[in-house]
Amino acid sequence: MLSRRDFIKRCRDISVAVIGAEVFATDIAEGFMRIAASKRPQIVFVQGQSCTGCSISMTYGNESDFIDFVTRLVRVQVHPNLSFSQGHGYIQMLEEVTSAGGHILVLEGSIPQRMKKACLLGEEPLYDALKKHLQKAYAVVACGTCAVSGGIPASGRNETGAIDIDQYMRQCGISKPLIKIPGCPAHPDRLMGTVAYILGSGKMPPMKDGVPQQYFGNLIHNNCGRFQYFSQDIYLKDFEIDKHSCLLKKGCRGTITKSDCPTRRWNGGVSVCVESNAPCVGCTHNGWPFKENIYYESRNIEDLPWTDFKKNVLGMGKK
Amino acid sequence: MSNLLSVDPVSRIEGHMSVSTAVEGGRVSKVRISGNMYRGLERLLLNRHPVDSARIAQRVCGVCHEVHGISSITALEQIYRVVPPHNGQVLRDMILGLHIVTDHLLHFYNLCSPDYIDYSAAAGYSGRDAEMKNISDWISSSGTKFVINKTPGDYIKDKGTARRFALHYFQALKIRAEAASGLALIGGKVPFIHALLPGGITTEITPDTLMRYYRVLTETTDFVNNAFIPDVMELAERYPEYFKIGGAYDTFYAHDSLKYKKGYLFTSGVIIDGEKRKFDYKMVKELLNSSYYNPDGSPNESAKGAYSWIKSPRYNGYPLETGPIARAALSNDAGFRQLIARYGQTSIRSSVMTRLLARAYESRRICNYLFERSEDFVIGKPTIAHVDLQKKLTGEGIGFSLAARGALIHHIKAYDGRVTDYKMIVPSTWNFGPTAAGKHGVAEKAVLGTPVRFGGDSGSIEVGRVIRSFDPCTACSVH
Repeated sequence: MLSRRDFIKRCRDISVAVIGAEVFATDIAEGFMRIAASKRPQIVFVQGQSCTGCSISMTYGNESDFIDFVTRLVRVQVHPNLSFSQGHGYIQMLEEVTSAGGHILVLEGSIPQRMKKACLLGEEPLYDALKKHLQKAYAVVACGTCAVSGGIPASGRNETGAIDIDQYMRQCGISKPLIKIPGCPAHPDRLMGTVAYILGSGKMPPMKDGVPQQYFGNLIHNNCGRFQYFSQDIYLKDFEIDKHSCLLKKGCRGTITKSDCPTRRWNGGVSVCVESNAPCVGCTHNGWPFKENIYYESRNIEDLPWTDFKKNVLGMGKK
Repeated sequence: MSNLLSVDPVSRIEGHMSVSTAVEGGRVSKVRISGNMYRGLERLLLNRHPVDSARIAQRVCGVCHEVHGISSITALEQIYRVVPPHNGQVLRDMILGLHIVTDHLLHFYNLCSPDYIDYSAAAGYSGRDAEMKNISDWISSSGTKFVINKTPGDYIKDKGTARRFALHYFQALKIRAEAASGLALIGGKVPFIHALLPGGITTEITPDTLMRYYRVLTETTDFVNNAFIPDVMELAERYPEYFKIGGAYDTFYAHDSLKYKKGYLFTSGVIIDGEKRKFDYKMVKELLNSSYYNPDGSPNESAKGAYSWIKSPRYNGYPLETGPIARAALSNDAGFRQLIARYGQTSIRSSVMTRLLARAYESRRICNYLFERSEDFVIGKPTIAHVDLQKKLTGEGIGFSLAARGALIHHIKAYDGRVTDYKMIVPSTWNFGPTAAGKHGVAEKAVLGTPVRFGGDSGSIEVGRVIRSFDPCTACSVH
């Protein structure tokens, strides 16, 4: 296994990934040191109305590595796509873990409240079954925009009555520490890093409305690699020719969406949506996938219909 | 006397599915397969701008995460009457191909292999390979429950094989992450590339993008050749009975896909009663007899006689099987026929093991294709034709494409800049649709007659193997 020195180094890497600084490295290392393999926190994954994209995103990793996460940091007890068991054996295992309690429950997807058959967990509707798995959880992680704010299943006419985990827990009278990791899909660091933070520091990360601030504290726009083009009013007109201009007039939602995408980047840090010259679609925004057109084009930025943009970006100096 | 057995839920697949069976005289005599999750993507796209479907329909599935985007964009481009420039087409094939191969790796190692391998036999390693030692120690001491398999069955229990598969289980995840970085360089990020827009690919592609792609493609190809193919062949040798289990109708269906100079890597068509025919979209109908919908297509969870959210597509009344096996059958691939001939198979007939072999064999073909295809890219030429993303579109487009799991169609009708009708006909819908008009769906047919030696609370492992051999994707199948 790892030597102590390798281990501290790895914790430093995690600390940088999670908090963006090395200062917590020793805290995190000590946190991990205390945890014997058999005592590592137990994670249970449950999927609602989802596409599995958040789980797949996690397996790809970025700064954080999925295999490290699974083999060194936590005990993944139940995962619908990974668990070797099937059928009743699978449900039994889920019930064993959640009835003993102390687990972290990660929910991917929304929960249909009106049309309950629109999502089953084994033989029961998820809406009825989820309660008992939450009852004794240590914390709940809403993974992805569907779990955080309903996302795509709750958009349009929402025929199934899809709700997010916050609404669900309120309806069921369950009160648990809830951490929200929006994103379509959730970014692997933001999920695994948050869990690593709780583990290492023994406390919840600094949050606002349940959203960890180290990942979602600032507008994408403010750290955007194309900010200077915005400052100079150089906007993309033609996707064929313009490869570096500001995408705001093509409906880029970086000005209303909070996340550290531009600095954290994706898939081993190789790129990020805007760098591929594609407008941010605002997938971590609680309005995703929005009522108005996703690619809302505008001749003048003042005509963009977003009130938050007017307040937070135009109001802050740019006329 | 029949014995009722169910696998509910089916784990290690994408999504929410259950299978209930009756077993008589040691074989499955009755079967029902239910898709148990509905979001209503086709309906929530109504009245949105057609271009929005590029981003929303893309999210039908996070496992086969790029295929729906590409099919949807192909349909949109017909409405726009725009053809992407050469480079744009090359990039899309590069995305599709590499993505499909990594999807196959996920399926075989992470979803399907625990059906055959008893991974607990990998514990207790004391040799010198550090990576192997870590995995082995982890399996023996972690207390992690997801690796516990309580389903009784005839698993491979020898230490050597179990350890090799355990190593490959994790290497497959690493290769996938590497390949994902290659896709992200082209498209910004995965899952869900946003650089995909009607007209082409927005990204500025530089030589280093291509070099990185080339590197991850080489790594993926090595793994396919040195691990994936030999491992599947090992299963084929150890479980020869599975060439006789899981056969369906032997009806197959595929589209022209992955273009290159000489034509397409996979050819379009339908095979019914052993005869190859041209695919005619007009012959496709989705039946709702056993599905939770009203005749107008709106969801109804108490629809009479319904037991699944999946619809039942039929081609001139026939259920069709789609997937790598169908692509091999339609291309009448000589290499593949040679491969299965090693196991005494004289023609391509559907079975559990033929499906697994087809997936591995096609991965190698796609890798070889991608080396050739990526050389078609001309540095400095445009990758996208500009289109007005706000245009008040009117028209109709049909995107015939492919996913790892089979042939894929997105059909969009638009009027005055709004979607008026959106229809997806997805591989797992073909394979996992319920019984309708007196005919079982393809996978239901495949489960019928499956010999059940092991049963119990968790259902039968044999049925699990048949189901997983299709690589089901329930989120896709229902959408």
